[in-house]
Amino acid sequence: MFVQLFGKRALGAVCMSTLLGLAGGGACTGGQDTNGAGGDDAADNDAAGASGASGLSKVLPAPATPGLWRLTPRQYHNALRSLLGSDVALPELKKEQSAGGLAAIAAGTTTATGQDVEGYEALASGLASKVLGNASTRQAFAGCKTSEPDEACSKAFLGTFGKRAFRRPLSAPELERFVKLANTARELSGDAWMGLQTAVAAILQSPKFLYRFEQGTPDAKSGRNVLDAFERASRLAFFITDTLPDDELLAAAEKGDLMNAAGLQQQAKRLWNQNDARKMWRSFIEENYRLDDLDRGAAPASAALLTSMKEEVLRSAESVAFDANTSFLDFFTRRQTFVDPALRSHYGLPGVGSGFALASFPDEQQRVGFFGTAAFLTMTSTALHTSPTARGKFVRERILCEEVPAPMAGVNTSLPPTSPTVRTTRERLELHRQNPECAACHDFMDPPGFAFERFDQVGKYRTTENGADIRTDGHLDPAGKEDAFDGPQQLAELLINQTGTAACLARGLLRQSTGYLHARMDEDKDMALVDGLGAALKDRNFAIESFLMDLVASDVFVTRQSEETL
Amino acid sequence: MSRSLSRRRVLRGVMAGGAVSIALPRLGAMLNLNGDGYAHGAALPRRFGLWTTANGVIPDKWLPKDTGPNWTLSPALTPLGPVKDWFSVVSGLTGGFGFRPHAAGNTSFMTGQTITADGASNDDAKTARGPSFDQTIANLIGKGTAFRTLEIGVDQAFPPERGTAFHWWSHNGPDSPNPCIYDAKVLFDRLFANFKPPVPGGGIDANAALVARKLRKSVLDAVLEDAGDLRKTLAAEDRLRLESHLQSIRDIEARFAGDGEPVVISESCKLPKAPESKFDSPASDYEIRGPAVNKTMAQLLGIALACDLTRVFTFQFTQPGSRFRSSKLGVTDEFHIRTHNPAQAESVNNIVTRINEELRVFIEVLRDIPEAGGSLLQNAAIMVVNDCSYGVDHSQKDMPYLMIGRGGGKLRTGIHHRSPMVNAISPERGWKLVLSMARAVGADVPSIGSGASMTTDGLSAIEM
Repeated sequence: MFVQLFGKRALGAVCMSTLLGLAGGGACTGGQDTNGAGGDDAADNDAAGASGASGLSKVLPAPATPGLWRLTPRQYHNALRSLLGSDVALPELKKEQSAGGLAAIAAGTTTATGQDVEGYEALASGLASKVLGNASTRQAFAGCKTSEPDEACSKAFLGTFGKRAFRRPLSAPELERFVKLANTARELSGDAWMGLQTAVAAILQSPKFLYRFEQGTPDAKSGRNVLDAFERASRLAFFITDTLPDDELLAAAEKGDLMNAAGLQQQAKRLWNQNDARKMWRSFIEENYRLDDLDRGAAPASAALLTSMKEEVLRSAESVAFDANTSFLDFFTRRQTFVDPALRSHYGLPGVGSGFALASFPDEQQRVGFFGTAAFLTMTSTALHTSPTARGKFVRERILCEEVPAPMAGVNTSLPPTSPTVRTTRERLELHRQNPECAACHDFMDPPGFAFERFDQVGKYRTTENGADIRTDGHLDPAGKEDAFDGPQQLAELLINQTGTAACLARGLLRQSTGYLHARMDEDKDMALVDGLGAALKDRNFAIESFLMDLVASDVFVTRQSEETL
Repeated sequence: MSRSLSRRRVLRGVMAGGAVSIALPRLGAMLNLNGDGYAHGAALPRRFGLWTTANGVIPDKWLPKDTGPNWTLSPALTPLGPVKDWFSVVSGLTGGFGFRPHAAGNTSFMTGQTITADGASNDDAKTARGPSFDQTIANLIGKGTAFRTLEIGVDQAFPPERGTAFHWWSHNGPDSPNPCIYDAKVLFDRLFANFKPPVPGGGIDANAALVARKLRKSVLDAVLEDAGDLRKTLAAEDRLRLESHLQSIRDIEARFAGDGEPVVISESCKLPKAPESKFDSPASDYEIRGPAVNKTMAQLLGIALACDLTRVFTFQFTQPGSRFRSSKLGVTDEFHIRTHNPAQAESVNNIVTRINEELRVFIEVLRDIPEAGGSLLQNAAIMVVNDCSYGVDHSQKDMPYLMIGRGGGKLRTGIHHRSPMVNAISPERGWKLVLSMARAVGADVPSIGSGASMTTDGLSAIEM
């Protein structure tokens, strides 16, 4: 098996040690791992009372997840809209902090800066003033019968508002605290509405609103921490819809429906069918496949074309997740794509029309799925030429979750110039690899990238470079023996059969749904967990909805590694 | 009745704006008659800053041929001729260490230790292992100021890779960077939104302002109290993150806790003109708006320093590994990629020289802020840093450092000092320069680094 696959801590600082491990593992491609999927041996290992109906029946280690999980900038905005009305004016969305590639990981690891906290305070008081300072709407917003809120109404309102904001009922002391604050503020200002406004400002800047606290309760039998009903509601809602639980979900939590697999799946299915789920999915794809690199790069393409490139990938990803009877493998292997007029002309496709429509790639170009899109091909290039190294590195890191060591300081990373005998980028890289210091890593990174060399730095088709024919053959195996391919379609077929491809996507979904922190996991457990999920994904033939329903009903989703084992 | 109504109106007005902070300069801080210190005998504040750029330089175009006080401007340093008296060139020192070229260049230098997951390429996870030295310095000299440290950025052509170690120079610790503000409007609001020079008999209703402060404090107190029950349930790492958030709330409280009237320190502490709307430099081409943003940011920083709102800052002119683009130079691809190519040395040097023109603007803005009969730069120590010395091999050897400002008269400007140990097996570290500068402004940092690289001595050649 892929011993090195997720063993980030096993990764040597020197290329050779990594490569020795990978060369051994790289040969293992045809063997299908069957021990992880579809077994029925674990129906009684039901620590959370959640699995059983699930296709993910093998008991997997409990994931290490953050106990303190900050709302991502997107979630923060969505939550404010849920609480205060969809038309509430919000400042420009802050950039998602990037850590581990996903905002979900950053949310579980990074610390709010002083600037962030100032921003929370300012926006909380500004918004509270907007909704409760407006004499014509505040009475309806607070649900008070009298023109000045009396104590009973204040208390009822703060209880309801607080519950939605904190995603659980307030405890008696908590509610008392906010009622007391409202009273103090009323006395200070001589204005009962100012009292309520002040309490709302406090709720909107409370860490209990700004963070998700997902502790769970230790379960002696399983050794895991089991999430309670409200923690589960939060997880479902933030994962699938990127916002607060709605009233129906909170009610399901209150009734205890989320303590069993069927209840979790019923709610998950309901949320998956909402439009917010598609928005979440698009964000996940954008982050997981680094599509914002399109905005960061130096691509010699217009901003409008770059936007179209990104949209092409997102539509494709949406279709392979939400359309009936589709598999995410289509994302990699489909010979069709979504194009608008700008992309049609970019790909040399006939036809007109406005907006995006499904169309077949031109046959002779051998474009395939995501790898054939201008987005992938552009974001892995420099302004002047393609980079087989960057493209191969993307395949290794983003598709297979393999780690590539960084170049050392003091190593000359520039490529030799072209000459009458060295005309293609591939030939320049071959010269570069004559230096053994460079070869160790480049033998690993570059070959998958060679498959795409017939597409230039903005993904346009070409067959020659500086007059020389372009080769697209190579081996996925870094030793250069196994897994031969020629061209992107053959490489894509090889890739979808790699165990790593399933495990890598499963890890991404685990991170998105639970904030999974593999750095806080024992390495063997990390591998067992991620490989197990990969097997389950494969078992569902990469049907995203089926896999997610398995996931949310499993112990992986509703339990977490107990703090003592950290 | 009418009094109560007007009070309410004022309060709503203040609350509706969102920002109710009143950034106060130091209380009671009137200059004495000589203008060389405060009336109550305290010395003028001294400041420490970093001015950062990236991707190294072309060494033989950067390095001046001669050393000492009578050095000749090199081609790359020519733009700095008009301010030559206000800085020194310090060459031959070694920067940070570690595998990851740019991120290690800035963050390992700033923290004195390698960055996390060094060697692997998963840049997202790259972060500092500990606090950067600007934070250490701020803990020693910046505690009473409204902003312990200030981070400002100009060029937004971000680097090709990610991770907090790659993007920022200032860090509180792992996964806790201090990102820069790039929009001059945002910076202005943060510093001066409610800063009002005193007008005799004018200003807002003192009673209403007092009530607004009390209301705001009651909110923050309630939030802090409410968060109290969370701490005990969290694992250590998560508890630290929450604790840091709560500390930021306490910092906000401390900032408006003063009851006195704002007092102007000197004639230079005046409310600057507010940018009318979002004002930042586009990533696509620095020349579009960058020069104006650069100057505005320098001016806002200068006034914040003159008003003693902060004493420690990082001014990231570019990000590490920057993709700086300039239509003026015909650089429409990007800076970073060119520095990897030895054949582009001339173009790289043109970019470095262009950046030094912008550095000159920065120096001139601060130099021209009068303080105590001289210049604000007399009481500042600002280090020009880079993420590597030479882009082709990401070297940390012979870093292109500059030292700006006289550190209250303790630092020697106008010279080129070259370390005699530049080619030694254990060369002198850039931290020697940092220690001299920090100590000059009153921050007695004992050492930076650990083990073989631990640095405890300053660089006597640049000390007065």
